Amino acid sequence: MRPVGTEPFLFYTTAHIVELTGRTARTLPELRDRIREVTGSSIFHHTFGALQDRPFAAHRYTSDFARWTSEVLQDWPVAERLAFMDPTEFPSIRELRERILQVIDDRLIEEGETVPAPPGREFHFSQTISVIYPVGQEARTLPELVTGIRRASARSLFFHLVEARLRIGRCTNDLSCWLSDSLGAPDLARRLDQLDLLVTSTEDLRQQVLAVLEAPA
Amino acid sequence: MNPPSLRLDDYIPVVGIAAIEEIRGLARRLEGRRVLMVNSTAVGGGVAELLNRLIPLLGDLGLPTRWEVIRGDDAFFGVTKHIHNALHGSRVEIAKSMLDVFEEVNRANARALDLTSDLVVIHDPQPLPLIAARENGGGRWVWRCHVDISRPQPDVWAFLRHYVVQYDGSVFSAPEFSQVLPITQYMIHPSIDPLAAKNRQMGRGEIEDVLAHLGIRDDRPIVTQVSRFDRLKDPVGVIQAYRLARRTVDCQLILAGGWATDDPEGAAVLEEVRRAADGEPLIHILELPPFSDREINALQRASTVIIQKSLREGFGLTVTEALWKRRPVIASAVGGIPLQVVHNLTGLLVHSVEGTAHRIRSLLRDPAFARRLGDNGHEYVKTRFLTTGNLRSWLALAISLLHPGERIIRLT
Repeated sequence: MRPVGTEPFLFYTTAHIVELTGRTARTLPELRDRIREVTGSSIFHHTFGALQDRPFAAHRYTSDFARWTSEVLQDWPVAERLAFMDPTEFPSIRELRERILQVIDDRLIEEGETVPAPPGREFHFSQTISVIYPVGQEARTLPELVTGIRRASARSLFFHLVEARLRIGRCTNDLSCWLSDSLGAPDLARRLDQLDLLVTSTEDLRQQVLAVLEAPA
Repeated sequence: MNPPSLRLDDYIPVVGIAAIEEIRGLARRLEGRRVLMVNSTAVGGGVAELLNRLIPLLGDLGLPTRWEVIRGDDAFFGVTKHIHNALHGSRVEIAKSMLDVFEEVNRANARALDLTSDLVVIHDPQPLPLIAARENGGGRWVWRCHVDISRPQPDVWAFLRHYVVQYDGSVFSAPEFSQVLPITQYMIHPSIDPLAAKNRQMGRGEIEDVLAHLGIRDDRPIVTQVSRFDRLKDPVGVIQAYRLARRTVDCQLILAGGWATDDPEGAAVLEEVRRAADGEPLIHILELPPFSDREINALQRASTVIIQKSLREGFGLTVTEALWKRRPVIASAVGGIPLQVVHNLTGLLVHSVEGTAHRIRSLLRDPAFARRLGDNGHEYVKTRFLTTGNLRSWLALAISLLHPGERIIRLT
């Protein structure tokens, strides 16, 4: 491992504004049809956005789709299968969307008749507009990276560890990439890649990351 | 209007320094841009309360922000009251002459007010026609709709819509409250201020003082609903649920609401509630005067369980307040409540008197579960429904308006 990275690690964060699409679903077939039509940022909003907003619920509802099919449609088989899906395991929104559609299609083949949501409990599709900006902190060494992670907000950690998978396109994160490519520490990077991202709070995630980075070599 | 001074740094103990620095970082990308907020009342109501918080904080962030209140006579506010009811789905007759008054008063305000700004935010329907006075090449105009317009009276909505579509964007509190529009629709949830008198931290001694003052003994679990005395809040249903629960668990009930003396319907509902309570000493019906924020804060914090058994609801900020105070909440799945109460995680959603009674018993028998719901609820509000989050959303929206059509905006 090099004492100083060849490039600094720049800490970023995000601010989101939610945009309403006007699209709604009242039944499982309608949900499937809308999921096909909506933008990738809408799929992001209802999967990754749900994880960011409700980390404590990550083990029960890994997406808004899982929550709605459970709480509102009370279609347990599809709700359980959707809840079992971990969005962070998918390297792209396209693959995530395809998997969600497959789960719903399978259910519709099993059970042709579906119950509609009661009035007022329709699924409303929204999408996220993301503003990404640097927070003005950088790290050139491992101790500086540790300090930065201690200081980082929950949003910044989510951006670098969870959302990063979509940007990088494989099952890794910004920290691992920097550790491996810039600091020459591929073992540390591999250990970070193995972390379970479906934790119950961002603080848990921070502690897990720190435990890896601060473990004796 | 000159709202009280507030500093963003005051929120550091609540949300942490990193979150505050990130808001400052976002605001720096907008530094110097002027913001104008326009609404129809300087005091009273949720919008004025919101602006009293938002405006000084935007100023603290380096965005010069003005607040203008439109003026109108009784005839004007009579029309706007009708419009408000029509947007809520009530059938009202609004003559063309009334709409003429509405437009003329807005034209007069447009002549009197300085509407030049980089971002103009018009709150609710009363000042909506001001958009007609927008100058070419002026700033961005956004209509912030705080009311639920999902089931409006069609002719009234058609009249208003003609103005709405002239804006650069609209903002609603929840997807369920919006209409299909050809302009961009953003969503910003309502929020609560953790430093306000209604939500600030309170010591045990102060809570006990308030309870003593209100004549409530803290000698058994307290089940509370804080709501105005309105049939849509189903206070009689709450009493029925409490009585069912009381068959097997010991508790007392508090129904706390505002004074109903100037509201004939409220007075009638209050009378119904009193009849339903039938003088039972463990049912406390509290008519609180205006500005009872400290009392409401103490009552919510003293409660073992908070109920919001509404039949219809707006966003339901009383639920937000209870969640913030780590109280376990039992609430109806109506309006904006399911956005806040994730069933079995941040609270319990119910659909009947019996369901409410069942859940009161469950929570009183299982304090560990109640505590877990309360802790989750607090975290959820911290993430989504605080003043600081509201501020961040407005800043992100302002940046988004400068980058039309972009869904991922990268700033240096």
